[in-house]
Formats: sequence, structure tokens, C-alpha cells
Amino acid sequence: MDIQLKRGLLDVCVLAAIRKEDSYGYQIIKQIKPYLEISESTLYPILRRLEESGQLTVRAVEHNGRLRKYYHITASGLARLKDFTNEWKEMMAIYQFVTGGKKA
Amino acid sequence: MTKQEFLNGLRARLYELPPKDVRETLEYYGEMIDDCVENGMSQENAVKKMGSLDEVAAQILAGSSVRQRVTRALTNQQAKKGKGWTVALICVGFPVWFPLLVSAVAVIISLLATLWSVVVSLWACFGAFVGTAAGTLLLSFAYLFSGFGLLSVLCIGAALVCTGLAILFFFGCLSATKGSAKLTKLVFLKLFGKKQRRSAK
Repeated sequence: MDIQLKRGLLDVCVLAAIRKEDSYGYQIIKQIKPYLEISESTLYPILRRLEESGQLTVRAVEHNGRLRKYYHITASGLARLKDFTNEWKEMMAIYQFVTGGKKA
Repeated sequence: MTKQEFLNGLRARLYELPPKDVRETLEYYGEMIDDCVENGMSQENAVKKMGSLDEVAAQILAGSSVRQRVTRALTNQQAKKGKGWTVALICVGFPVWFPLLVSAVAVIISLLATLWSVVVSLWACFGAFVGTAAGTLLLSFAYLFSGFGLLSVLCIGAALVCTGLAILFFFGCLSATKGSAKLTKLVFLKLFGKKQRRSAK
């Protein structure tokens, strides 16, 4: 898959993974893996970027005597997901155009 | 590789990042390895899963902003250079700054000594006036009993003048002494107080 496209998709997937409830790194990877190839080292810069741009916040929770960071989606993160679904309609139209004419 | 070895290696490779970013990165990878182990992986395999140290570090450095890294690298360099230069200058300049320092301290101390000698001579003047007043008073009595009335009155006048001057000098001397004491204290605090505080640290 195109790198730029994948980058954007990964951002959205991470946000989607924490949309319903706060989640932590290991869990996020497990959720996304069936759809997109993602590793521990690719997730980290995404989390940083999303935190810096205010789309998620981080809090540390104690777990088995150590700290685990939980990520929480913000209003801005939710808006990003909404934008994505809107854009996707345009993407589908473009898809039709690109594959157009050869419709079965 | 153990988790600790991995984290140490990562820390070493991220030296150009701000300490806060390094700490957060290590926390992230530590947590990730712990979570893998908690889900049944061996520590060895969990560490392997993170990828090679060089790749991981390169990815993190690429993700951090260029400005952050440049400023960090520059301050590191400057700190190193600055320290080296300071030490070198102190060593090379020793024949210059040490005599200068000693003479500066000597000058300050001699100025203080001068100040105090002025104070001492002021007190000496005061003493002289008191002495003269007492002397002339005695003399006036002597003249009075010897029958030199005019001279006796003159001596009493002189005694009064001296007493007045002595009183004036007394207050002058007192404030001069107080002022000098304050100044001396201040100078000594500046010279030695700081060093004491430094050595106390």
C-alpha cells in the first residue's frame, strides 16, 4: 500500500481503536493487526503525533505493579474520525472514476 | 537480549533527543515488552519483536521534529565545548589570573586597612580633645588659685571649646566606626561567604 495513504489510515485506525474505550499500546496493535500491518515501532510515532496534535490524551494506570499508559480520544480526535468518513465518500467516487467504464 | 539491555541500548542511541522524550520512549517500549511477556511470550522473543535497536532508534529519531534534534545536538556540543574551553582557560591562564586575584584581594584588604586607620585616627583626635579639655580645665584651676584670673578664664574657655569639639567628634567617630564595620562585613561576605556556600553544596 502507498506509504502516505497508509500513514493517514493508521492514524485513523488508532483513533478508532480508542474511540469506544481507552486502550493501551499492546491492545491497540492487536485491534488493528487484522486490518493493517502495524508494529510496536510504527505505533509509537503515531501515538506521539496524535498526542502532540491534541487528538488523544495519555494517562498512566497501575497494572500488575507497573505503569501502563492508556490513550483517550479527545473531541478533536473524534472530529478527525468524522472527517475521515466524510472524505471516504469522496474517495469512493474517485474509486468509481478510476475503475470506471469497466464496470461489470 | 534482555529487556534492560534493549532499553539501555535504545537510550544510548537516542542521546540527541530531549531527556523527556527519551524517558517516554523507554517507558513505551518497557510497557510493550512487559505486555508481550504477560501474554505468554518469553522476554527474549518480546525484545526481538520490537525490531533491531538501530531500526527502532532510527524510526523514533525520524519521528521527532528536526528543530528538537538540532537544538539538542547544538546544546550538547556547546556544553562539551564550553566545558573544555573553560577548563583549558583556567589552566593556561593560571599564571595570569592567580596573581591578579591575589593582588585584587590585597588591594581590597589594604583599602579596608586604610579606612580603619582613618577611624582609629578619628578616635585618637577625640581622645586628644578630651585630654586637652581636661588639661586646660586643670590649668584654669591652677591659674585661679595662683591669682591669674584672666588666664584662668581663658583656659576655661579653651576647655569648653575642646569639650564641644570632643562631643562632636564622638558622634562623628561613632558613625564612622559603624559605617566601616558594615562595609567590612559586606566585603568579607562577598569575598568569602560565597565560597563557603559553594563548598557547603
